[in-house]
Amino acid sequence: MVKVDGKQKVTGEEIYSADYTPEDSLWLRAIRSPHPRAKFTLAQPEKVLKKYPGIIKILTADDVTGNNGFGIYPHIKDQPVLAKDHVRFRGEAVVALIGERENVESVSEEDLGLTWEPLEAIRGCDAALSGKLEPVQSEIVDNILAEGFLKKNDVEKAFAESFAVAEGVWTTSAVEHGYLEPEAGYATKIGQRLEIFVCTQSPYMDQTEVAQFLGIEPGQVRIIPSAVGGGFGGKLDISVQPLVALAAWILGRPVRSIYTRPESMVSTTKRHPVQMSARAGCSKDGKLTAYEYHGDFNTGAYASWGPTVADRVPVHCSGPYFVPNVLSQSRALLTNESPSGAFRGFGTPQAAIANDALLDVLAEKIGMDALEFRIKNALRKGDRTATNQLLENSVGQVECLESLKSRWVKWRKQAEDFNQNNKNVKRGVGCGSAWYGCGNTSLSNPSTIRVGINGEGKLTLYNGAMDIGQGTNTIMVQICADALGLPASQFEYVMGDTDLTADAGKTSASRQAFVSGKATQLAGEHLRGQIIQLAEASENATLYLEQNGSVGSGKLIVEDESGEHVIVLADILPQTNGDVLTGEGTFDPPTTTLDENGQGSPYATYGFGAHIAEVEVDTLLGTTKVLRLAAAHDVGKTINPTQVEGQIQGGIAQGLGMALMEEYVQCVSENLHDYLMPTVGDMPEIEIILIEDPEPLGPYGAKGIGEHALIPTAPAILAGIKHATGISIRHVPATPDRVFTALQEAGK
Amino acid sequence: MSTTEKTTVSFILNDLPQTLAVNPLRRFSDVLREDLGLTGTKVGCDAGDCGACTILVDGEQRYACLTAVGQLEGHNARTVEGLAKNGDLTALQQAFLDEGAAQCGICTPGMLMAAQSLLDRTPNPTEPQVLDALGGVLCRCTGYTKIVEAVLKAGQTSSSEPTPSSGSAVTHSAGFCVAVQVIQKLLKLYSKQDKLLLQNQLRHQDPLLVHAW
Repeated sequence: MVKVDGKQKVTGEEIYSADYTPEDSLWLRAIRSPHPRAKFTLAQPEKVLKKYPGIIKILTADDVTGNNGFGIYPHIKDQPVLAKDHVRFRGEAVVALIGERENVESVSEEDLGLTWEPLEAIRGCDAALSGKLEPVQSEIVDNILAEGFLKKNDVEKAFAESFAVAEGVWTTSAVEHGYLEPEAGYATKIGQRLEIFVCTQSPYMDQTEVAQFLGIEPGQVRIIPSAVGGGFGGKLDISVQPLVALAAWILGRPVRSIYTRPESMVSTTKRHPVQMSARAGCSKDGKLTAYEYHGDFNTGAYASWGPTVADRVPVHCSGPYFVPNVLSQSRALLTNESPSGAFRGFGTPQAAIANDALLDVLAEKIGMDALEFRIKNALRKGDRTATNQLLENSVGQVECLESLKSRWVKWRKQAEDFNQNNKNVKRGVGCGSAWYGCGNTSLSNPSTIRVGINGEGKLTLYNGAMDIGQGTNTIMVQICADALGLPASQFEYVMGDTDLTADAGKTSASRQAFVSGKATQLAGEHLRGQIIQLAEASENATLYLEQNGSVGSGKLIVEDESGEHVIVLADILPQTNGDVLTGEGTFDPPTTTLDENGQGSPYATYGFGAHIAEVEVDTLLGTTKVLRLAAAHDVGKTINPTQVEGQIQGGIAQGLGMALMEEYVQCVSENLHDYLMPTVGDMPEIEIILIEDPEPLGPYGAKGIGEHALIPTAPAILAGIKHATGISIRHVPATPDRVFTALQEAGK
Repeated sequence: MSTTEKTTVSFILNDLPQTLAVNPLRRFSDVLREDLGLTGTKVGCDAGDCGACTILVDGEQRYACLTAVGQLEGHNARTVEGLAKNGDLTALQQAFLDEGAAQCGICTPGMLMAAQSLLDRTPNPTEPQVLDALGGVLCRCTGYTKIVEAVLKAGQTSSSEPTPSSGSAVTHSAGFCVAVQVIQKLLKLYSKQDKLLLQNQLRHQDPLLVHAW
């Protein structure tokens, strides 16, 4: 089935966050810190108001009516919307100018009397831990925001008894989400309520954040999501929302803001850079015995999703493999750098780089093929994970790896043959692997979905599961259509509007297809149950919906072995949203809390996957080109094959970027000219193999794909470089200069 | 010329004549979106890096954000709104829809226009030609695979129906935009790996490559 919102996307009619604002909207522009750490004073805003008659309001921290702090955790609201006296990263907002656009854009820092006293900034994890400078946040004296810990059995003893041990250290860079739609939106005050039109991955979280920032009730805030031009985790945190909300609330006029690209890049979150060390051991016959991991994640100036990364990494860092002894530690460290937040995988893609590299070294040490080694150790049904969770269903890792085997053997051979005849250009084939828990870690994360039919027969899915391009608008309609027994073509949908939909949680953690998908199935079944009951028909009755434009003429025809039963919809009293019949479903994936050793069942299900990549390295230039890539993923059940393939292909592109070119550096790559993302010319030929090991809890067996699509790519490419050249890249991305230097150091 | 002085600019937009009283130095992307209400042309960077604003001028790809509206005098421009006629999708749009080439869809208008410029010239292109034509537009969702498949499919289905805009250029473009075009061409390198190499070289020459916003 093609996307339900596909037509407006190919005609240009889709309305994104910068595509609409009420005509009388005022313009808002934030003034941001050019320094990573500084004190500041604002001398004379009055002068600006005099010089620029088009400026109506200058907002500072003193204007905030509620709590001037936001953050995704109820107990950590550490990031000011407008900084007061002191900034902690380059790009932090200190002032917001509101008025006529031209005037707003003309005001300079000199006009504002804004003076900065730059302070020495904490850059990188080592500086954060050194204790030499004042802590980033005064209440966190050691700059350690959060720690994750997992201990399963006894790694020391296991390493001592291991036949082979491999170890290493790696670092990765900050990565920009690079969605092509910069943040934008507007707010308007209607009576004692605010309506905010914005691009977001989490309308309900936005609602709560804005309400606490303004000091009003969440019910007074309505979030109306625009179509979202990409998110990847970056639109989970708020951006323009609180600024336009406060301005509209104070002024009583619509206020809009559109971030410029550099503004979007400096002020919003990144993928965490990490410094990590890891060690793995195995027996003589190739069974993994122990895994140890330590990762210091640079979480920047504010919490954002740092604690989530610290929690997720220990659970996943030993990969989709059975390891009897595991010790893993992670820390989220505060620095004066861009806040690192949620980005497709929450630290797992970084940890996988260490994991797969060590598996390759172990396989080599015991003389086993790297793919065979993985197959031998892959998690299977009945195994227990590093958190000691028993995996009972939907564990397709072995099938994923097996499905790649024939290509693996052929490609490796072809690459080795190629290298026999080529001196400067070398080819290699590497393997990467992934598993990923669907849903929030050990936390309740319910979704509620509603579906309703009105008197005219209009059938609407009230879908709070934000579609950010991945296609929840479409698959929720598909799932609901199947559950209800009416064709998808008869559905209309509402996406994410907090006045019309129920809370379906955030579009994150590969949870929407699994969690909201199940809620949608339950909603469809709930509505079907009511229809069957009303018609006094049998369970397996066939439904037909007669939809008519004029009021009062919608009909449901319920056909079973006893004949046709007709429900005249206009005869039923309207309820919620004007619908006469409403189905509702709620699903909260079952998890348990993790104990002090990180033991428990943090996720209800896991996605699995593996990639093999063939690369070509030019040893004279240091460039790496990915020639072809095969990706196998266990998705439980494919609801929409085109969309699942699209998720995997897109994940590969982002993984390729992370592996080879993407590196966000303040003052250097704060725009899309210097920050490099893959173009069509960088993409390999891709083959996709979908494995369907159904998850009984999921909708028709489905589980998530969003994040494990990306995780194996970088490890596979890096392993390909190793196979091609013999060099191990320890700092990602493997840019030409790094590859070239490593080749020189290795004397190649 | 003052930055606010207006002048009259006449051109063809989506087959219809347009005459605007505008500051000729304004970005054409802004004029399209703000003055003409044609928000199908997206702005992702305002700097000629992302290609989301790609439109056609005399059948050639052009970044609307780097095109001053004054440059259009006497020329023929086409945006995504000029593709479908009376709600009927073109073969290219239909292929994008059927193949799942649009995910979030924000790059789609630019991708469509880049592909259209190719199909107008080369109705049945090869894969390398498609890769070359799409090299100036970034997509962050799809990994490009389905976009390439859609363009190839459209090439197979629509080889007999070139759009009316192609080859209908009115006059040659004014000399002052040559520099911009050269820079655009330089930026449109085949892959980011090439650009990376170039960038590394540049960085060594100019270590203080610092950008303000």
